[in-house]
Amino acid sequence: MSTTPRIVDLRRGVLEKNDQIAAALRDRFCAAGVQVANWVSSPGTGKTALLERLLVHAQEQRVRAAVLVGDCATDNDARRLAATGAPVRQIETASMCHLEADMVTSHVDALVADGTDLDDLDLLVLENVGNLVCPTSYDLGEGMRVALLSVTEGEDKPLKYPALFASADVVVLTKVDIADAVDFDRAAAESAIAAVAPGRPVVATSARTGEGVGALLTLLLMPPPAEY
Amino acid sequence: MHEVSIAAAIARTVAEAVDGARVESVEVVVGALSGVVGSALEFAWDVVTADTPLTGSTLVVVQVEATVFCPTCQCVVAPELGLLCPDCGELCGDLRSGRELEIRSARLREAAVSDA
Repeated sequence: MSTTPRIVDLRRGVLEKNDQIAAALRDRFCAAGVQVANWVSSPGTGKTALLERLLVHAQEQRVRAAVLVGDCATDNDARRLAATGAPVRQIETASMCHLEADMVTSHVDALVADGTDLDDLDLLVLENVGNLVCPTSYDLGEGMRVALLSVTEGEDKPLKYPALFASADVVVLTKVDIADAVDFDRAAAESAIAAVAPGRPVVATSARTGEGVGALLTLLLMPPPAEY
Repeated sequence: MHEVSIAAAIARTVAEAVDGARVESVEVVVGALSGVVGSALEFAWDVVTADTPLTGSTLVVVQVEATVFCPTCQCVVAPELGLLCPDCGELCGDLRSGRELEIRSARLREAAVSDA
């Protein structure tokens, strides 16, 4: 017997399985006519606070919105968001640093089992685990990826995490009510965003004052953007 | 740091593709902006392949550098930190490579020809 090494050509994306599940989710969301946004940022950017404000505004506008929120541990965020009356589910990822498409599938199924009909929803927000690296690679079937950046984080953050910001369709600035107090240079931030994500809309928001919340909701309800 | 789950996804895909054959090595292509660190993948490989048909195989990581198109210089360049053109300093958002994350091939070790 002789042993001969043999090469098997594979040429497969590492995340092919995730991408297939995400594609099925996207079809399902499109069929139900629900706009789906994947919110990604560092921990502490204020995703949940902004979502609380957004959900209240959505109800006032008779926009039906639901949220799946990912964290490594605790259901604190889901409890905060559920206080608005919107359908909310917590995805506890244990040690995982990002959401994956199969987690979204099982929690969408659970949302439906709890009595939320996807056909009745206008908007579903997937609040990802706070992390600017790992969520980049994982398609969740969203129509729109939203990258959030708070005014306390440093204007050059998009340059430090170019892959994530380049994958976003919309960039949201948060906590703009304290921009002056922390010497936030908005022009520098917008220039950094334009460098890695040219052409994306930038929405300035404050969960405290409500600034930009209406504009953000309008943007989230628009059809998925074309490729840049 | 999601290299363990990425490594597990690679191992699962390869194991299905080779259908039980013994694997000597697996070649993957990792872009500089893929969000995955090659050395961390190699580190995770032994752990995720333990007690599987891929035990003892080597993960070969081929790194792909990031390149961008510079609108000023009208050419593809390897950007400096912050996606700046190394020649003119322009900020370049038009990525041409660096996001790759692909399993290229698996090298098998098996009895191909009988001496009998």
